[in-house]
Amino acid sequence: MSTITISGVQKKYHQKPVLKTVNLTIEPNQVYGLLGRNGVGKSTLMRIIANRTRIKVGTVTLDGESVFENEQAQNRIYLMSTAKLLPQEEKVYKLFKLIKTMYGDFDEAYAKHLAEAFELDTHRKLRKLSTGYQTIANLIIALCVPCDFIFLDEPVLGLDANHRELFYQELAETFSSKPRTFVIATHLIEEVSGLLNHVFVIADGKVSLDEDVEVLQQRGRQISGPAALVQDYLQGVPVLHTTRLGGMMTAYCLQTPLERPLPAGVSLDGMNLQRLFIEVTRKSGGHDEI
Amino acid sequence: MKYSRLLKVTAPSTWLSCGAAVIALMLVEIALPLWEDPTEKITVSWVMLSMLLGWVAGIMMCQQVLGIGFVTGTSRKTMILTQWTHGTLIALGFSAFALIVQRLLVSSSLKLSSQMTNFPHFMEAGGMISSFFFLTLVSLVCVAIGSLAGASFIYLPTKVIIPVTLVAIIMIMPMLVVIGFIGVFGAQQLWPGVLDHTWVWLLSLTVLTAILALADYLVYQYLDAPEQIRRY
Repeated sequence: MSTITISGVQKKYHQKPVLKTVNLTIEPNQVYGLLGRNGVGKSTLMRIIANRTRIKVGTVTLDGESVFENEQAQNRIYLMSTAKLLPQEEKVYKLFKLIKTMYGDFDEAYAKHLAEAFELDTHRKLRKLSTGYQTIANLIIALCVPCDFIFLDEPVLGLDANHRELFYQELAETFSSKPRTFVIATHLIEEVSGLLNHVFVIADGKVSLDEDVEVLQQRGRQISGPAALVQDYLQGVPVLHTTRLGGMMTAYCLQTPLERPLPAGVSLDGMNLQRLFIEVTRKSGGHDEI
Repeated sequence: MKYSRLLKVTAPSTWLSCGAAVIALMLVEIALPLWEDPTEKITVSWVMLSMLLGWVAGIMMCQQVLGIGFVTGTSRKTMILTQWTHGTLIALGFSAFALIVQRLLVSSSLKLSSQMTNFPHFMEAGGMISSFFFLTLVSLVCVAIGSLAGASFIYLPTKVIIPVTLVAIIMIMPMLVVIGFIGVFGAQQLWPGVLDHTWVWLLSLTVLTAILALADYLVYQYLDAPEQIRRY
């Protein structure tokens, strides 16, 4: 099965390092979340994989072959981003035909279904559509293109809540009927968390977290209760962050001393993916007093 | 594979733009003068038209090819090859068109024209084939310059484009013309009569085209995908 391997990738913009040393592996038939704060390099990484941005250090390979300037490899990779590169003067249905010509195939029936579901008029020019509908047109292309690795950079930008929900449903359905790999970079973590198998979190130019969602959800815990009891319970345990409100404390951590009995008055809950992301990428860590 | 596909998808808009440009140029150079004074002899500046068409083709193609190429994972080598294929076909097509129209203008019963303007006299004397290649090479040189200009329009910040364009028009182009004149004058002094030979012009233009093609190729290898393709 095909795998994209990213090794030692570095990228600077105007001498400022964005990606320092990125190593990760993208397996087939998975839905990945590529998470990170603004400006950490998520889009840059996707552009590097899609041969849109060059790098001097590092390698990106698909089945052992470099993807750079490799059209055979790039024929299996598609990046949907906010960049306006498609001819804006063309009607949407003609763009579908254009993509079909370039990739040799395109799921026209599914594109028609999606256009109807999203109420997209495919006979309108791309530039005449609203921001949301331009995103929808790009999304439809991404879901219908015959590639093994689809990268979605901010796929729901400009979409209303109804369309976002529809997109997630369609993504789940298409993944189940025609498995391939999706890598989704988004800030709306809670909305996509149900779709994700695995997450990469980028912080400080590197992959700070590379874990299955299921494992993360088992590991991530928030412990709440009287401050003294919580501190005592978590003695010797690395804590991501604590929040204090009066005499009560909430601590967030990735490993909990499950062998220790939970003191009375202290509660142990799971941490949702968004909370986990916030705590992992919090700049200073430490403690908040409210 | 991507080369033939990119060629196919970019052909309609590229050729449409160039066709519209040719029609507009023909209206200005032939139809308008004839309409103003049907008895006047037409003097069509085919060299100037070739240059203008080359620039238009280079700029328009650049935007199409880069945009679609980057979205679909096309290599930079393929993108520049596609541009040059279109450019070459357009240059050859227009040269053939120019010679046919010129022949019609000269040999029609109305004798609408007597010469191809801006041609060195020996080029006309050299006959159709050398004229054809001369026009083609002039067009290709301008396609190359147009491609570089097109890439600049995409990548330069908007606020810098107008000043850069003004600098190019006011300073760089006259400088190149002066250098060209000095070169021509110098060549005439060193080798009298050398510029009366068709092959010298054709060889010089071929070398210039090759240099510019290499420049295009090198520039494209260092391009990253822009955030948007501007349409001018």
